[in-house]
Amino acid sequence: MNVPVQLQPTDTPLPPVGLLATGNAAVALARRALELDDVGLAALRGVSQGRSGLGLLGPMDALPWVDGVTYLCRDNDTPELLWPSAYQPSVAPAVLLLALKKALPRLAWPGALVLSGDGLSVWPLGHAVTVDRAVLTAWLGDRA
Amino acid sequence: MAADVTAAAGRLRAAVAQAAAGLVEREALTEMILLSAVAGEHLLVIGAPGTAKSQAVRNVARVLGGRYFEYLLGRFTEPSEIFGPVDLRRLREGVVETATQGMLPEAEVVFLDEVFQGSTAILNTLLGVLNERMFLRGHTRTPVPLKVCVGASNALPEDPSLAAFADRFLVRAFVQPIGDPRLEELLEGGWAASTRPPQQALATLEDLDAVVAASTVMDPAPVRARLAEALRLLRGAGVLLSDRRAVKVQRLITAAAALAGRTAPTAADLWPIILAVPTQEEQVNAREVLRELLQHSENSTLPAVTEDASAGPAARAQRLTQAATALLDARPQDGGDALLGWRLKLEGVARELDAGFAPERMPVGLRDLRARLVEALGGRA
Repeated sequence: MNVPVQLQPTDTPLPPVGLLATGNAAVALARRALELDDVGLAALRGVSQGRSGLGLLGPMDALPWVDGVTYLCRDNDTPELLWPSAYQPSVAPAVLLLALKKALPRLAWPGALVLSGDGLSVWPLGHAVTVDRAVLTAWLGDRA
Repeated sequence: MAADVTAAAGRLRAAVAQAAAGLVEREALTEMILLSAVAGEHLLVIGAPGTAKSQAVRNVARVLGGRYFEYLLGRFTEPSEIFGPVDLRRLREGVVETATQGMLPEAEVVFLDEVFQGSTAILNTLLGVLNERMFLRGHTRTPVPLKVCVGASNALPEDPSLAAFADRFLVRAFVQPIGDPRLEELLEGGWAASTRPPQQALATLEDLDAVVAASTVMDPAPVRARLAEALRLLRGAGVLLSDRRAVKVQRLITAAAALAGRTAPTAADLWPIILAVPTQEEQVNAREVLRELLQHSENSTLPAVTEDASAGPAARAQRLTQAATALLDARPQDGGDALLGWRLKLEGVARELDAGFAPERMPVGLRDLRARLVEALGGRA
């Protein structure tokens, strides 16, 4: 039995703990992150998603802003599942996480539920590491 | 007359905002003091020592230009320490009168720390002051100019004999020590406050009286049905307000409407019902139960407490709009650190906006504001 999962706008957003960006927004995000000082950068953990995607995790006040990023939140009871903070999954996070882990056993959790052109997908964030300026510069160099 | 009230509310808003300057996470508390004063009610603040309760009240009194009286009550505090000593000249004439100069009966704003520690003699006299605005002691019978009394305590009293006294404080605030993310801000603000010159009065008691007058003549009938619905919802969830509190909530509602510049209360003014819920756990529960009913809450003079009480998107949008507008209007002319700091604050607002509002649900005004933020931050995409 399939249960449709939707992301619905919420009036009670949870505080952001990360963000995702793709395309031009990802390039702008990388540039913005490189403007941070070493302390600011050290507060962030990052992971790339293919060639055009970039994800960052960190305390809310440390997360950069650029136009077009999607901020992510999570429920304290299910820290492995993140979703866009201006939305709420239509299925309880605990149930959803169980189902997703069963469907995606090889995913590097935590993962972020995101809206894409094909519907919902899950971005793996488990390989996020402290953002290294040289690595980020190289990533940007390949795309700028 | 309406323009005068709106102007007075504007000055009160500026005054209360300044009262909160330098304090961290105390904007809602300073606004609650103002709301209580306009409603003619009193505020009980529950929180650990050293959480800026008295500083917030002191600041509000200063910016309103009111006479202020503050005291830390103990079990052995004498009534004369609060109300004044016996007037010895009058005593020689056989009359027991109290010399109240500079004491509580002559203050417009009062802060009583550890309020439940007071003796029966003190609390009984206070009851008359709080309820009837009359100081009765011996042969002394005098009206008091009290606008608002703020009582503070570490915890709500468990002694049933104090329950009646506690119930005189209609508005309840629960403050916590500042959390880890804002410690730097606390240290910076506290240090700056110690070196800052005294705050000037940005409003007057006449401004307060003008808004009080507008609130007093307002009829809560337009929202009475919704208020009754809210009370039923709360009862259904096990959150009980006494009949007295339920009736008096209407004064908070009309006070909120008057401060918002309205001539009649609307659904946007129901949120103070949360503040009248007696305990912290019940207030948390009440917010959840009344979330839908309070979703349209907004108040331009009391943005922080409105958002805090209602947890509603309209109040959140209003706060962000005010914060962003103030920042955009205050772009530093010089570059360097000042400009960098300004950009960081602007990014913080943009982040909160994007993290908190789905594009399809963003109010039109907020959408326009976002466009201004994006332009000011250079697009960055």
